[in-house]
This record gives sequence, C-alpha cells and structure tokens, in this order.
Amino acid sequence: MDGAIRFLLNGVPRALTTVAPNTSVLSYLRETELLCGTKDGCSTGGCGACTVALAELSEDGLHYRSVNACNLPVTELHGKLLVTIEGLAGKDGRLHPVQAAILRQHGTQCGYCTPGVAMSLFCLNHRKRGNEADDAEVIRSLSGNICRCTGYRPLLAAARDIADGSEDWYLENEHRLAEQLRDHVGATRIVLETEDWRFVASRSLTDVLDELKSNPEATLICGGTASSQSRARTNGRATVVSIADVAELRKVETAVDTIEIGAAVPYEDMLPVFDRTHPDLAALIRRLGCQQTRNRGTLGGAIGQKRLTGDVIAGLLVLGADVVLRSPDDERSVSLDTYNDEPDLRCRTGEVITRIKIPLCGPDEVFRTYKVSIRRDLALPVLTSAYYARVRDGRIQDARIAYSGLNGQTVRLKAFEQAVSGLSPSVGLATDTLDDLAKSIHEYAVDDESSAYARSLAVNLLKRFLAEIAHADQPVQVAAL
Amino acid sequence: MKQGLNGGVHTPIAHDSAVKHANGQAQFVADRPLPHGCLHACLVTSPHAHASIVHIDRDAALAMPGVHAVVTATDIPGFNDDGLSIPGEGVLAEAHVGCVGQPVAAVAAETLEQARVAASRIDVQYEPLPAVLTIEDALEQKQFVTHPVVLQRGSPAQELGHAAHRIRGQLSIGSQEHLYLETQIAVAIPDEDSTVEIRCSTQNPFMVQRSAAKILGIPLNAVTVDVRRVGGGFGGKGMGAVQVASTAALLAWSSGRPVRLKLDRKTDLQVTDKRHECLVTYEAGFDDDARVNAIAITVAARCGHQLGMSRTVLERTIMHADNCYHFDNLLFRGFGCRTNTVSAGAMRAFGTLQGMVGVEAVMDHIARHLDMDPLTVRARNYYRDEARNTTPYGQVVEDNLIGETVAQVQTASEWDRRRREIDGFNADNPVLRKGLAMVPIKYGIGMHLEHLHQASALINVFADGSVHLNHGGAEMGQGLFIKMAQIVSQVLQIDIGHIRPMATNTEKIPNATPTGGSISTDLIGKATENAAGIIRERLTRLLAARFKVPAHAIAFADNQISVGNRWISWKELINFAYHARIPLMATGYFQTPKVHFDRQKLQGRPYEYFVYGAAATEVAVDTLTGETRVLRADIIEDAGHSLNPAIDIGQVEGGFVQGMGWMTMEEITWDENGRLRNDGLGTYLVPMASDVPTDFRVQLLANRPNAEETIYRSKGIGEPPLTMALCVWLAIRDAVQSLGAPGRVAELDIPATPARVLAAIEDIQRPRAP
Repeated sequence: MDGAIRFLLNGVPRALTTVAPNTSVLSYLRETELLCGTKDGCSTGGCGACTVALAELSEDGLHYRSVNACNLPVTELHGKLLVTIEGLAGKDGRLHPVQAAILRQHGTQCGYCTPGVAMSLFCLNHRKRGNEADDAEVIRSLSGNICRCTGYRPLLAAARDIADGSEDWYLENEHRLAEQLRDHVGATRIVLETEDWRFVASRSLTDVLDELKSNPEATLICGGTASSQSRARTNGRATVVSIADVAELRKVETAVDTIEIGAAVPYEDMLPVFDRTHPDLAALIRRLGCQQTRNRGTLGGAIGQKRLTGDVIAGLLVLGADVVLRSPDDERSVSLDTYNDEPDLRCRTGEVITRIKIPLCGPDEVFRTYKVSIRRDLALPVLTSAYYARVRDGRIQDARIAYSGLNGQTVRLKAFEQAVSGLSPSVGLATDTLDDLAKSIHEYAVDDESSAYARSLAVNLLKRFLAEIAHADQPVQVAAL
Repeated sequence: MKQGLNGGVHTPIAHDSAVKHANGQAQFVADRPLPHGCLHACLVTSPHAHASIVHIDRDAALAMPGVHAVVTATDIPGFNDDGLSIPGEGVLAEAHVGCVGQPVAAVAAETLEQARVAASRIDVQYEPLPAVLTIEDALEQKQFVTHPVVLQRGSPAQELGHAAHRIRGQLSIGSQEHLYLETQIAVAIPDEDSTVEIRCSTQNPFMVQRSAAKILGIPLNAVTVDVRRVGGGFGGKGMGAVQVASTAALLAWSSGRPVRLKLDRKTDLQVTDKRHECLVTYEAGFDDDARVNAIAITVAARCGHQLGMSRTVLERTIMHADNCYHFDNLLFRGFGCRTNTVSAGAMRAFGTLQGMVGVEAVMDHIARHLDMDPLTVRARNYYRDEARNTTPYGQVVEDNLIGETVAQVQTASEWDRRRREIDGFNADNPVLRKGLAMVPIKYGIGMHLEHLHQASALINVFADGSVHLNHGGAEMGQGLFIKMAQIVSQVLQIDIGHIRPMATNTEKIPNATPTGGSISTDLIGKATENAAGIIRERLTRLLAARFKVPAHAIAFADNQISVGNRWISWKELINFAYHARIPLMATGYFQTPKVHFDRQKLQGRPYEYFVYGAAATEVAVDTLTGETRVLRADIIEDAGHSLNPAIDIGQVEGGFVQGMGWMTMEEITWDENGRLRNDGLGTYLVPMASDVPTDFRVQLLANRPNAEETIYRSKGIGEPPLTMALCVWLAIRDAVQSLGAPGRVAELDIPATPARVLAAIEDIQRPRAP
C-alpha cells in the first residue's frame, strides 16, 4: 500500500501525497506546478483549452490519449505519463513537429486554444505512429477543441502537414519512459486518505471487491467524465474507488456469437472491434461527446449512472446486450432491456458492473443507430434511436426499437416495432400508420415545447431507417455526403 | 553583401506570438504571477429580470473569514460609469436591477472559495417589477432605449402602391455570444500616490482607464491599463472588460490590496453583453424585370435593459440595410427595444448583418416570386453608374467592386454547373436536399464617430538597433501587432526580428481609439508609418550632413543604408546616431481625412471606404431531421493590397465560420423569468472542426489596391467576412424551398437550427393557409 499518486510529468517523476483527491489536474498544473500553458476556458470539459496528453503503459509501448485536465482528478494520473504543452518542445526549445505544423499553417490567432489543439494533434500523431491520418480522424481528434478565431481550416491543414515523428522526443525516448514509469510507480494500487476522503485506485477486481465488502457505499469512478466525486459522503468521510485501471475490466473479448466489453474499457478502445462487428455502434460512439470524452468514458460509467440516457444505451439495448455485475459474494447477468426497465435490478450497493455482453449480428440482421444533435460533435443528443431487425424475403421481422431523449430515459417503442413487423421497407409505412405512431409518441414524450423537436424526429428517424434499407445505393444522411 | 529583407509589407509573415502560442509561453492575464497579497473576487448578480433593490445587508459577508471588501454602488467614490458615461448605467446596480445577471455587489477575499461563500451570504432584498422579455412585448408597450433611427429617400409608401409586384415578409435573427475562449479577467493593483494599475484583457484600454478613473474619482493619469494580449475579443472585451476591470479596481481601492476578478464561464455568459437579436420586416415593390421601385425594411432590436452601445449599433444596421443595392424609394427604420435582458453590445460586424438580412431576403423572395435566377435579380439592383451610386446616407459608392467580385465568385464556384447538378440531385434523392446561394456584400469601414478616427504610435530605437513598437491597439489574435511591425520593417527596411511589439499600455499611448470596427490597421498603421518615417528622416538628415551628400542619395534597403557608394548596416547607423545625439524616439500621429458625418441627419461620409466581397455556399439538408451541412464555400474578399495575406485569409476564414455559427446553431434564449437558458458550453454551441465547410475556398480579391490612400493601399479585413455567412442561411432556405410549390418562400428564422429547418420543411409542404 502506498499513499502517493505517482506519475511522470513531462518525463519527470512526481509523487503527490497531500493533494485532495478531487483536485483537478488543471488546478494542479496551474497552481501547484505553475505550468500555465494549459488554459482554463470553461472548467466543464466543453472547450478543450485544457487538453493534455495522458499516456499509459500498454503491451506495445506507451498509449497516448488526449484528455481534458479540468475534469480529470489528479488521482487518475497514477501510473501514467502526463504531457503538457510545456513538455512538447524538445529540451533544446526546438518545436515539436505538431507545433511547427501549426506555425507553418498560420494556425494561431488569439492563441488561447492553441496549447489544447497542439496536445490533441500530438495524441493523434502518436496514435498514428507516423501513418497519415485521414480527414475524418483529424476532425475527430479535434472534436473537443473549440477554436473561436481560425475557423479550423488551418488547424486541419496543420494536422495533415505534420512531418513524420522522427523529431518527437517522446517517441525517441519511449522505451526509457516506459521503464521509468514502471520503476517509479512501483506499487500497483494506491490508497490516499485525508480528513475528508479515502481514495483507492484499484488495479484488480479482487481489490475492488474487497473494498466493496468493507465499504459497500463507496462511489466507483470509471472514467469519470460525467460525474464528479461529490457523492456518497457518508459517515463524514467519502470513499471513492477508481476502477478505471482494473485489468480485468479493461478486456475486450470476442467469442463465437458475442463480444464482451469490460466495464472500464474506454470508448475509444472499443472502436477497432465494433468497426468490424457493429459499425453503427462504432458510428454512435464516434458521435459521443468528443475525443477527450471517448478517451476516458466507459460503458461501466454510462450504465452505472442513475439515468440510462448515454448515447450508446439505446444501441446496446436493441442488440440484446447483457450487463454482468459482481458483488463480493455473487455474479449475476441481466439483459440491458430488463436492467433499464427494472430499477430493482440495477447496480446495487456493493456491486460493480464488470462487463457487457453484446451479441453479434448475422447476415440477415440489420442494426442502425441515429443520433440527432444541434451540433455534430460535443453536443448532447436531442434524440438517439436504435433499430434492430431481421430482414427476410424483403420483410422486417423481430424488430427492436429503442429511443433515448423523449423523456429523460431510454425506452423501447413497442408500437413502432409492431408497425414495421412484416413491412417491406421499399413500400414504407402508410400515412395513417405514421399518424398513429406520431400520436403514440405522446405516451413517452414530455409534452412541452422544448421536446417538440424530439417528438417530431421520432417518426422521421423510423422513416430514415426504412429509407436506408430501401435505398441502400443513395446517401440519406448529410454526414454521408 | 546585401541580404533580402525578412519582413516588410504584403508578405505572409506568421503572427508575432505564433511560437509562444504554440509552446504555451504566451502569457494571458491569468498566467502572469499574482502580485503579492492579491485577493480574489467574485460578483453578486441579480436573480430578477426587473426589480427594485430594497436593501443590501453585507454584514454577514464581511464577517466571513478572509473577506477584505464588499462593495456596492454606494461605495463608489466617483461616478458609476460602465465606460460610456451614461447616467444610471454603471457597473454596479443602484436603485434597481434591469436584468438577471446584472452585478449588484462584489466581494474580495483571500481565496476564491472564501469570496464565493461570502458572496452567497450577501443578503439583497428585491421587490420584483413587471419585466419585458421579448421584442414583441417591447414594441407593444413602446419600451425603447432610444428614438427610432430612420433613413428615407423618395416616396416609398406611394411607390409601393404603384408597383407591379409586391412582397412582404418577416424573420427573426437571434443574438450571438462572443465566446472568446479567455473569459473576462482583470487584476487591479493599488499603488502609491492614489493610483491603480489594471492588467486586463480588453480591446479598449482607454475605456477601461476612463471608467476606472471615473468610478474612483481620480484623474486619468492615476490609472494605468496594461494589455499584452487578449484571448479572443470579437467586440466582447470592451464593455465586459470594463465591468470586470472597474469592479476589481473598486475592490482594490476599498481593500488596499491587489484584486483579481476572473469570471467563470457561466458568469461570463450571464453577465456580459451579446449581439443584438432583431425582428426584421420587409416590404418591396418591383417590376417584371425584378427592378425594385420601393422598399421598406424595419428592424426592431433587442437592446436589453440599458442604452449602452445600442444607438450606434442601430445606426449601423440601418446604414447597411441597402447592402449592395440602390433604391430610389426606400424607408429603413430601426427601433431600439428595451427588454429586461442583458444589455446588447458590440460584437464583430455589429448591426450590419441584421441590416443586410432584410434586403437579401427581399432579393431571394423576388427571385422566387418571379421564378428568376437570384443572381440576376441582385445584379439588376446593384449600385452602378452615377445615377445609382449614392447611399441613402449620402456617401457615394466610388470604388464599386460589387459586380467584379460576384463575377469572380461565380466563376470560381462553378456556379452554373453546380446549380444544375444540385437540381438533379434534388430530383433524385429520397431524403436529402441541397441548396446553393450567393451573397455579395458592401461593408462600410469606419466608426461613423469622427473623433475616433485618430491614432498615435511611439517608436523607440535602442542603441543596439533593436526597436520597441508601441501603439494604442490591442492584439487579440487579429494580427494587428505583426502588421504594425511589418510597417516599421518596411519603412526602416530592417528585419522584423529587430522590432518588438510592446504590450498596449496607457502610459505609452493616451486616449487610444478602441480596437475594432476593422479600422485599427488603417488608423494605427498610418500613425506607425508616420513615426517610423520620422526616425528614418532624422537618420537620413544625419547621414546627409555627415557624408555631405543630398538626402536623395541615401537609401534604406534590406537592413543596409546606402550613402552614395558606401553601405552601412542598421546597427552601425543607430550606434552612430546615438553618439551623434540624434533622438531615437518618435511619435507618429494620424487622423483620417474625408470622414465626416452628421448623426442627427444621418448624412455625410461616415466610411473611409467600402470593403466588397461575395460568398457562395452549397448546403445539404436532411428533410427528415432538419440537420444541415455546409458542403462547399467559395469566398472572395476585397482586402485592397493586403499587408499580410496569411493573416487576412485567417480573418476571412475565422469570420465566416463565426458567422456560420450564428446562422446555424448559436442560439440565445431567455426563459419566462428572463433567465438565460444558454449559460454553458453544453447549451451554447459554436462551430467545431466538423462543422467547417468540407470544401472551403477562400481568396483575396487580386490586383485591387484600395482606391483610398490607406496604409499601403490595404483594406480593413476583420468584420466583413462574418456577414458573408448570410449565404449559408440563404442556401438552407434554397434547399427547403425545393420542396415547396413554385413561388413559395420558406419561413426560416436565424439561427437555422435543425429544429427550425425541420419546422420550415414541414411548413412549406403544407398547403398554404387561405
């Protein structure tokens, strides 16, 4: 047991012992380290001005992710390499290739967003390891960075103009940094205790279960992009257990007919497998928050929330996913559909969500998801919808349809499912059926002005689903153009 | 050996702070070390849209640990001034509050947390009053902050009656938030002799200085304002900066300690000014050839609860309601509606787009009505020859580039081919519709306030040849500093590396005009050229006397000075000049010729010149969801002979995208209690990288130096591109209208959010109500 948060800051070892566990990395950098290159634009994860790179050890070296420092607790630094804008240029002051590219492309105006943008592009550059990123990848890497001055064009150009990584100090020193990280971090788990807090960064499931046995009320943090650590202050002292680095919860396993995603797998890490198995789930994840959110957010975090409205819930639900939960004495599995419907079956005190089992789709199965938001990236959905069906002999069977955004929850729309049952997509729905469906939405939707748009989208997205099957040869979404 | 010059004008040199921006070393106010003993402050704001303040009890707050000062309007030793010296419109509310978020009190404590807790303990008792929350209600109740702004020519009412065709329409255009990434911040440091130094992020240091001096009741020479750089301004670091800086100064005065006040994002969104939301109605009469005989446009603006800048903004609106078109008979009217919402202020291109939107809606409406090409309709009404080249405010359109710019965009955008392709696409696709639109602009460069058309600069040359460049303009990303350095580099023929742009500081330059209105380079550039020219002339005279040659035998070129057949380096020359006791400090000054304006009659020559531009955009619209995407934008802006094409292209791209945000997603609404709904980055959405046009082509108009003798014949650049984003809205309307019956115009307010677009799609497919 060790009472220090150990990490490398721009390659230099740090061990924090007296810091409050809910201190943000942004405050720590600016106020304790006096590193003011990381900017504070909103303190709510909404602008990316505070983007830093967080690297963790993986089998193939250091894995860099862009994260927002404002909503990252210092405790999440344990065992990692934190790179800030001050650490980007070489020790001789020579600019990093990413910085040089921003300069060449005249990518700075007021300069307030620039450090965050540079860090996002630095992470992209590392992920690509010298391979050229395509336009979509570049845009996604900047999906959490607001620039109010440039109109982004020169920043996108800079991303494509980055020379190969040969001048990158972190690539050149990767082996050494990895070694240093192993040596420096030493202990696998940490416990940090102050007057107000007991903070545990777990590294194994056994450890989490032990902790839950003695502290069933402990708050589990898994990514922590959505919730702060203010909850569960019982008996004077709050216990917070970070499960983000629990090895057993970080696994992605593919079986014959299912994929199992560990509860602590960051969204970004699911994409390679979903791109193969469930492209629409991958598409939905790519619309979730921004790159910084996807680098930390997890399914465990989304399903563990009080309200199941996360972007991906509807998609998992119609696919027939199961949630697997562990308590110190038991393991149980419950379908997400049931989990969603029955509050009693949700994650209980003393339990931890360990993984999500998602069935694979066969050749005659169709799975589609749509998210409509006012802005494409980094925006909450107005409505998210998901459709699963078998299409046999040109007709829809076994449809499962779920929407999130109508009433603050995720709901199955049985009326919609019945309406499309046996339907031929190219024929479409009759006008009076559509009218009936539009009326049925009022059963679910909050009947106020602010949800009028969501209500009118409900039937239209069903039409889109049918149009996509019927007009497979034509684009039917603006994103497809 | 002669080397080429690394610097000079008309070159694409990087922003002077680009390296520091990229490596994180550029210091914003929040990044500088705090002065010893600095306190942290926060504001107490009104929860009511309209109320009398009955009583303020601050005792509990003052008793809190760490608290050093609590101030209200009654603690102001001088005059409660928010920068414009309008009685009753100060930085802290006096007898009543006029909007939610209006600052009522402020607290300074040793930590920010202590200040926040103390602020929550200040007990303000209010007596709520009826509030006016919409433009419509203000019009109905005749609540105005100023008298109407009216421009009339000919007999519009009569000619409307005589016209062969007559159309009318109405649309609303929303407010917009600057969303500078650096929120408002100031550090006020009391000093000896009852003076105060203010470090802040402002584009108007003189206004900050003036307000703080008035509030503290001290002379201007007792207040120093220092601004190294501004993390985004867009017009918002004027009145907003005054609010924060003067409050910090008052707290510093009261506590005797340095005070830092930085607004968190939510407070910044609630407290600071925004763009004017407008309700626009139009009526036009025209003939079969689309020539407009008469037009009437009325703009009613949400000015918020105070006058503030609104009169100036409204005048600009009405003076841009003609855009590129000449009308013999016109009536343009602007109403400044008083609402119990935050006072609307200055934002990039203020007023202009709200003026242009009416006339551009008219042009498209006519095209739709007559089933004509919208470009033809526009062309028939352009300002042209002598009979059609005088604006309603009396300024002659002398350097008309409208037709030329539009023709170039038409070619560059492959307009005709794409129009056909889009029509084909729309006939085929089951769900999506595309739209195409072009908009030309004519943008007046000038503040239409004569006294602001002046500037000063100060150049100090040190004995080693290095140079300090001072002027009154603030650097907020627009590249003013590098352009000014380029001018010095050009005049003295020295590398840009010799010239250090200095922080804007009221100790160096008094009475500076605000940085804005796309005019700072014109004004300060000339003053800088003047100062550099004085240094050069002194050096020339020195050399002429020393080497006994006529002045014309001396030439400055590429870091060298030739005297007859002799070459001297810049450094040698300066060392020589120093020892020869030549003053190496010079001030330059400039006042704009020709500009004059009668604000009572709205007649004169308010603008130094016009900037022209045109943009064509193609959009895709999802008819099932109302989602839109800008597929391509072709933009040409007239920048005269650009001082720095890289900087200018950046201004066009950035301005256009900011305008796109206003047109499509940036929405400001208030709830039934007058509370701002969009007070965070989760609810106020600005464009991100994925919203930028997929194919984004920006050019500067080639080979068209400014007809006026501006600095190296360049033109102002910052604001006009924002107004060109109007074509995004027009293109979305075009796509929606492809679903409607011929002649039917889409009812689509701005911003054209997906919800509004979907509603417009549903509306245009319904049979028209009888």
